[in-house]
Amino acid sequence: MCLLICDEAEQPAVEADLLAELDVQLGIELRVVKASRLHDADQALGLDTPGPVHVLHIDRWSPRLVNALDLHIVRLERTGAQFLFLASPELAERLLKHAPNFRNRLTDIARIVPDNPYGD
Amino acid sequence: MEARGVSNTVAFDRRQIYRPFLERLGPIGSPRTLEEHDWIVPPKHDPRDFTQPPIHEVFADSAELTRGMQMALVGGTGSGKTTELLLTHRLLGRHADAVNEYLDLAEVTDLNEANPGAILAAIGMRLYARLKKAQKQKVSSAHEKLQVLAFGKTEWWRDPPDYDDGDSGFRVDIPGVMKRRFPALRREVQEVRGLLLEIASPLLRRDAQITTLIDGLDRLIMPERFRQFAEQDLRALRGTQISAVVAAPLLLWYDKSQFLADHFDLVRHLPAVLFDPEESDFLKSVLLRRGATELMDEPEVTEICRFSGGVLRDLLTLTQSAATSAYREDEDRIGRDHVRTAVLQLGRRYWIGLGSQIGPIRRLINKKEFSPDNPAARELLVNRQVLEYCRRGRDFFAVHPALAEVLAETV
Repeated sequence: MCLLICDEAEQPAVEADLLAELDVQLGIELRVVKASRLHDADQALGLDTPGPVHVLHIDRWSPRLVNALDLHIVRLERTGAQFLFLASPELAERLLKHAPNFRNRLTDIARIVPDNPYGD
Repeated sequence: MEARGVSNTVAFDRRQIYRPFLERLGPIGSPRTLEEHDWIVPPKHDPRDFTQPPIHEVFADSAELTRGMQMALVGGTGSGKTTELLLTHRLLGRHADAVNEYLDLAEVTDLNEANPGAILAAIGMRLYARLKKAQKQKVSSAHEKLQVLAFGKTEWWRDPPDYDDGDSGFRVDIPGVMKRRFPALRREVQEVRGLLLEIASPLLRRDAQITTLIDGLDRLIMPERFRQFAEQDLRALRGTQISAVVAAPLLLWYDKSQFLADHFDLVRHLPAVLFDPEESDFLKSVLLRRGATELMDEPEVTEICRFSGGVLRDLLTLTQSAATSAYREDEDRIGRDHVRTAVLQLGRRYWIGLGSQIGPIRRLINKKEFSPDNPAARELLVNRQVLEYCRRGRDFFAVHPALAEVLAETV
């Protein structure tokens, strides 16, 4: 369970990279679920769509979603699937502050920075 | 003769070593898996007082001797509350007539949406599942009604219901001279209580000892929601002879209103485990039970124990991260550098989002000053950036060692 942090401007490229990488490495096609288009907690948590990897793009602040993530994090763990959460630095900070159970069960938090075009 | 191609097969398949090890550490195992594999190390004493028996023994003894006891276990995230509940559950099984139900409420209901009465309903449904066929037939009507109350129902009406029939009148509250110590039980909670008792009656008539171990409510970080369930569901359970052991949010331990003492017969606190190899080898035993020595030596085990801060989940997470790092580097064993990588990774996880809270953290590191009385400090405790310990009955606080390590590097 990993939280990936990157600037909003970089997010489409990161999403595309993630999907391509998962396709190449694991041969699975999956879609990125956006928080802004979710209807309920189970959908947010990917519990209504089985699969080994779920990518949730937290593209807006939603107290309901944050509560769901915090309270149901054990359910997510027990599915045995890998969860990748993508958020901007601001949203990630808020999320970590408001969801201590979620924070505690993340295996990693990674900051993604764009490649230096000059290759340094 | 045809030349033989170069095989891509790895001669020594390291996956066969790392995979089972990671599975033993992984959090995906259900509580049942943990019990089946005997991966739980029972503590030898109360973490706050080494002269007292361990918490699970105290809980089990109390439930056995006084039916209807209500007990609370308070502790931070990852401190081992679920483990204590499972150990209590296991111990209670020593009596043949005991009916013990471990219930993770977050598995049963969405706690954000659940209302008072939900815990009673969940207990009722679990107890129904424990009844024999003939017993079930006798209480099937109560079970059906309970399900309707729990999950609601859909009805088709020819005409829309008329809520404005003028019969309901106006509500007028006339204050009394006394304030109720506890709020009155809601009508629907009383209704669920009645059905629960009917369902439990075949067991209670046999004089069975019923204990429910309720997990998940501790994830309600804001204690107000927990209070609501305690004031309604748990109070409704009083007098039913059904005992309850409940995992409660850490913040209630620091609550000045004595809420836990008022609502529970027995309260136990689970602080982070002190890393002191001379006094206790508990942390090390947890790792050894999961087969740590297959992949690392004594110094690495000790380092992981030290930097876990005594938070059991962090102990396992650090080991897992170190193992993954070693595997990634094509190493057959976990070395010092892999542990170091894992410690910094965990420390950074605690560091992100620290923001303005860095002040109290620095004060705690430099001057050993920390008070859980203000909301900002309590937030640090809830997020495990600051850990609470107890040595010989004396409470003290310390910055999580992995976070302290990252902060030391950033100076």
